Amino acid sequence: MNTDEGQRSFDNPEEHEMFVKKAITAFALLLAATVGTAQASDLWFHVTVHEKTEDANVTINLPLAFVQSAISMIPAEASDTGHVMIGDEQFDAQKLRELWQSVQGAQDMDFVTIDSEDESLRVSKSGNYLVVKGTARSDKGADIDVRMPASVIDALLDTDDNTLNFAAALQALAAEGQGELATITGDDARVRVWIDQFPEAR
Amino acid sequence: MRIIAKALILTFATGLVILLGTGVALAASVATSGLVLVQVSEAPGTNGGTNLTIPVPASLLHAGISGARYFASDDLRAARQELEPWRDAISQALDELEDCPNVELVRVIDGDEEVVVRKKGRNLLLRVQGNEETVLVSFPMSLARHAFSVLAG
Repeated sequence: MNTDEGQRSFDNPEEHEMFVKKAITAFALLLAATVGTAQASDLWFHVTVHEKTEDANVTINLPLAFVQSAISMIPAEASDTGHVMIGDEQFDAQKLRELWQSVQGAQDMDFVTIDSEDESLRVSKSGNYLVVKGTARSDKGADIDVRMPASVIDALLDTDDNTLNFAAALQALAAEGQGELATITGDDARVRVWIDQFPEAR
Repeated sequence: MRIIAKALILTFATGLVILLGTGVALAASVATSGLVLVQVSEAPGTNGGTNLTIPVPASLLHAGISGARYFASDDLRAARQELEPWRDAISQALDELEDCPNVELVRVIDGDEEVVVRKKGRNLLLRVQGNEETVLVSFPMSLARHAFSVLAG
């Protein structure tokens, strides 16, 4: 009920309480809508490398938007001859695309398994993720844990020829938000790659 | 008062005004354009442990960069052709760096040597620390952007 001055007043405490609850709910929804989803401009790309033998550490913290800008500076040669090494096996973009298209609609499954003296490697589909897990069997091998959203793989392979679309893949990664991307632990080095909302590595 | 005395007072007053004016102009240019700082600190026991600090108002460097258009036009033309494919990407990357908060961007530790690149306020800081000396270079991001805009055209 409005007063003559246009201010709101209430006939009874229950009406007042209802108004307050609605106001709080509306405010919470507005807050959730604005801060619930981190955009690329809010996300940070982190890489840490620790080399045990040489006692060397590298820490990189970059705004994800900066990485997206920089990705277009990758020389054409690097994306034109799109190869991905999985273990000691080389897969070109065309082969990867065919493999990915064949497993996209499938249930969760292992679609590449590589066993060698130094390590065993398994590439599998798990829900909406491509998972690469490796277990070291000798000093030359490495424990690998890579978890990549399927949308990123789709974007990476979204080309008509034997190239890899790094820019689109990074855009898809930004859309996925924060998360751990890769942890690789070898005999002499540990590499961790992740995205989160914090400017400095934690 | 004698004419000579008056002339001396006038000359002194003019000199004082010029000095004060230059100081104020310098302070204003540092406040607006920033300062480039190069600092070298040697470890005690190394050549006497020399410490060297060179501050340069960025506005002087801005002027020098602008002058490069006229003094090195051929070299700039060649540089522009090389940078053309990446001009927009570099410009966008510089924008992102300017907008990001104070943060340590890169840290590399290799034995006793350490390299740190940090964004602090409007400046980019580069610190290289070794056994014998530490070198710190700090410059405004606007200088990097200006240099790039002259380079890329």
